[in-house]
Amino acid sequence: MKENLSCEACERELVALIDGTLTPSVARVIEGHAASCASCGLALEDFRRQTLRLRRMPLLVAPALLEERVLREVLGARGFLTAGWQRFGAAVGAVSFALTVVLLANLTRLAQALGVPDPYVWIVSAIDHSISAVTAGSKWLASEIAFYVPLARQLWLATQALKTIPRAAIVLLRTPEVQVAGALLITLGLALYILLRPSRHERSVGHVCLSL
Amino acid sequence: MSEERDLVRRCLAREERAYRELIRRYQTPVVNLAWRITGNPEDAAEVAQETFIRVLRSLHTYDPERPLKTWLFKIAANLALDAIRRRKRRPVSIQDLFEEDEGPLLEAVEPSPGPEAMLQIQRSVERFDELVSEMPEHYQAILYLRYREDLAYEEIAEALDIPLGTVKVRLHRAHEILRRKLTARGARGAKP
Repeated sequence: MKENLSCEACERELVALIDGTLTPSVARVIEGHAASCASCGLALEDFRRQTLRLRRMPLLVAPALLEERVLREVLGARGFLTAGWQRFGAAVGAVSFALTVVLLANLTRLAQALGVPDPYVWIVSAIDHSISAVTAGSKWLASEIAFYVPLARQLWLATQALKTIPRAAIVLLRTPEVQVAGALLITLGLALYILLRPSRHERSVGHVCLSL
Repeated sequence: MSEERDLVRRCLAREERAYRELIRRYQTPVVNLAWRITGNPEDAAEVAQETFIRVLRSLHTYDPERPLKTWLFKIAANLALDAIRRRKRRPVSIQDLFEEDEGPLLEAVEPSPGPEAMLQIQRSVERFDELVSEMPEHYQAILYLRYREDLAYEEIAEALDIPLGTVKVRLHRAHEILRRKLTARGARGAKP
């Protein structure tokens, strides 16, 4: 056997022999060579001993927080919320949506009942004041710099035209139909945003709210 | 295998309990493979974390015909290699192993009764583990997968993304390096 196989070739197969990956015929040849060759026999013994030790190589203990960290990344908030808390959060979300709709639809009536000025009037008057400020600015610019007069005049005319918008809005917003439509539009917009926003957490509170 | 498939199916159904089971079942093998490749416990922990995140997010791409463990190892090995590339860790070369000069006789320790002999055996085991941990990362990874995880050569080839022939050659070389190192230490230790 030994004559047919060089020691170098035999040594190359010793690990495979120990691991049991050689075909029976090749294994017999290698075993035969190792049995008749002191050098290869010694190498086989050494490799066997090494294999036994390698099977007991020390292990590193996995970090204690690995599981929680992975779950936090993968599941997001869901991993830390129990089912009960999720339902509670979803219910609170749904109720707040409904309250927002009712509040927006009845804002004028509520203000009247409380004896405070109509909130829509505040908003419209704020817009009106802002536009007036821009108009005044344009006038000042026109009077100060002759070069900019044509431009400032255009701007002034444009802002004058804009002044009709708040007035038209105040008339429209006072009708209950427009108020309900506005509230519904806001709610729908919010719902669409929550539904379509890019999110890794498919079962976040927002999603559960919508499913309810 | 059917148990593994069931676990994957439950994970795909986004069952939190299944996620936990998968992590608990494979965290030690993944951390240890990453440790063998990066040579650093902190890096290994990071690699393991990233491995499980990727695995759980891309589980729909997993082929259930193949062993889950091999797929996990493949992802972990790639991430560990990325980590050492980022840190530009220089692997210990074979030359370094032979040039090192330390340690008493390793193989000459004969098991015999008595606390002194037991201490010597313990030290011998520790020195052997040290030698393994000083080897280049690709040898350590292959030794770990073969002898600690009991993976077949084909599975190692798939996990480390190398040809089957390379697995055989590297295993042989790893054994040879260890043997030479042990012999060198033994010879030096035997000198008066």
